[in-house]
Amino acid sequence: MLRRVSRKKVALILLLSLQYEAVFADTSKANEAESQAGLEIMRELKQRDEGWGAASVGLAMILENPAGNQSERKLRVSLLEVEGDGDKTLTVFDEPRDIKNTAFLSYSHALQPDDQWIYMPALRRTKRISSANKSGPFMGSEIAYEDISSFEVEKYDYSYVKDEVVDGVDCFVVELIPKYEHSGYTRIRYWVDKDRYIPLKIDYYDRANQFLKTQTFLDYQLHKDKFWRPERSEIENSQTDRRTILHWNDYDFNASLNESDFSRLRLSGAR
Amino acid sequence: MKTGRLFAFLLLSTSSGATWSDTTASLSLQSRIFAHKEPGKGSTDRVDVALQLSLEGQPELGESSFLSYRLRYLQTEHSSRSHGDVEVLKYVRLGSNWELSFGIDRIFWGVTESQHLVDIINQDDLLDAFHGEEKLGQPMINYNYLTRFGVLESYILLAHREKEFLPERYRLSGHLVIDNENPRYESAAAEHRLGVALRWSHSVESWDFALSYFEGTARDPMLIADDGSDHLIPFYPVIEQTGVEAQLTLDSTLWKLEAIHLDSATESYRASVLGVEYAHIGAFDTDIGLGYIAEYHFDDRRDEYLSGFQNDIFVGIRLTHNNSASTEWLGGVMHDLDNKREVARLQFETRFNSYWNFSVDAWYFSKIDEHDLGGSYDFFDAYENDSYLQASLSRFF
Repeated sequence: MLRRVSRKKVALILLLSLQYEAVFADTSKANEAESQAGLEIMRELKQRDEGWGAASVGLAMILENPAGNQSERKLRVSLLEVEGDGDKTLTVFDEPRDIKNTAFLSYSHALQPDDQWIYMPALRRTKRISSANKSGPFMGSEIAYEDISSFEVEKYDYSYVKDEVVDGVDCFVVELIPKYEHSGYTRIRYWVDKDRYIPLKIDYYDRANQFLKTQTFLDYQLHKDKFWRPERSEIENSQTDRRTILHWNDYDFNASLNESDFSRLRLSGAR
Repeated sequence: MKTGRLFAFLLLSTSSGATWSDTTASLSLQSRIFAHKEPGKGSTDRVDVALQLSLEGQPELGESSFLSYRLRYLQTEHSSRSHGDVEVLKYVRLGSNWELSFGIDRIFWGVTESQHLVDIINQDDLLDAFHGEEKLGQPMINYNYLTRFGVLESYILLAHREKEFLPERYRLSGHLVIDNENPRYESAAAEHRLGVALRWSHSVESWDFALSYFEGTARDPMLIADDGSDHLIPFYPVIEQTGVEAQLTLDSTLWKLEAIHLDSATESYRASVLGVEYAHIGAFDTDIGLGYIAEYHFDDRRDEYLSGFQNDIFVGIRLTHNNSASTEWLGGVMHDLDNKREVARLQFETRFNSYWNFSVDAWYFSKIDEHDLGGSYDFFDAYENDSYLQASLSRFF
């Protein structure tokens, strides 16, 4: 049963907060209400996406520079939902050919740094790396490592901003402020579809609170009658004029994967 | 040559189409230029060129088994250096929490950057690279088991591979006259003596550590002067090596340790490497990543030794552009605290597009004023005139 009750909760909180503001002109209480509203929205977003267990998907990433030159990356990602913690992901690269079979294993956590290992096939070497530099670009793209770490509610403080229509869809606009260390962002603004509770657009603001990049999600498809997944996403960096385009293919929610498939043992055999 | 036939066999067997997409082939043109002309020696070109071909793949054979292979072939101007090797050719069977493999494999153990102490399973391919980072394949039976408390690796090592030294007149040969044809073994079974290796590794929070054990014929021979011959004879003793690896990943800093204890009939020694690596991103307000590495090497066989790491410090910098070309620089200097020798290395690599890569590997060996070769031999002594730069252009298929 889809939970619609929280939308009413949000509306009620806002109504109460407006009354409060009118009567007492107490802005801190209003902020608290916005914060609570924002939290409720993102909690609902997370909750609606729970229960997928394990999945795998193919990803093609196109990196485009201001001159229009493109370079392509092809990878395959396996994901495991972990109860009470962040997701585990195993990413294996197919292209470019010189990094074929390079693999990246990540155990996401909420506020603790993620545990990450990289496997370098040329040396047959597995190395544990520091995840503190999560603001760095993933594979030279406009996506940062922190962007691909799994979304956990505890990672951010929230603030509901307003309602807005994006491409004909009514959305909540929520601001997220990272609580974890070493983030490259001061704040992140989400446009969340009021009906399906999925992000349609995300704006990122850098450490100087300057607008950095915008990400849009397109062609959402419903999987297993419950999970919405985009087929495409575009990230435009307005400071550098560079773009990254993502194409997901072959979503497999029936993947029979378990914990041992995400162990270090599997890194070197990963294909 | 056996490797040539193996190449052909694999090409034919995979041409059925099913596994082509899984194969990566690469062709690399490597040209080297040496800083000094070597006085009074034979084949001492300042410039040489080589072509390296490699073929690798991991075709699936079914739901839970696959084949893995990696073959390399180096063709150089100087026939003694040209050679091929099957670095990996194994059949792997996967279970829910285990894997069993038969065949030839390359196994890497270790956490440090400037020396790989614990990494013992494979023999160095000195013909390919004098620094020992290229390895020869090792025939083995390997069983790995995943438990709640880490991964257990067990190996039965079939057959011992000799270290093949470059002829004395070659660049980067170390300039010792070594008789490759007549190695001697402590074991009566010679190269057929089986070896055993075990390793337990685990990851707990910010710690990654491993304990390992190896028993078998040594990979590094002792070079003994045989009376009546002007050559040095390689002698392979039977050894036992116990090793420890540990890494602590704290924020942006990695703390690393590798230590070994090696025992044989004639000697017993300990060696260790202690290191730290710090990385940060966003240098100069860009996406550039900078990493700083410092490692200290110690070996308690201070005097006579077939290696140069008795009391040395390594410092290095890694610079990653984080661009779409994956451009990366890695530079480092190894400083010997005893004889003040320095060995420096600079590596550079970048991608031109999906198919072409370019890399540079440059080495500098400092000259030291006084050294007494006598009965002892410091690994880097003989490289003084061999500082060089290698540029490689690679095409991937």
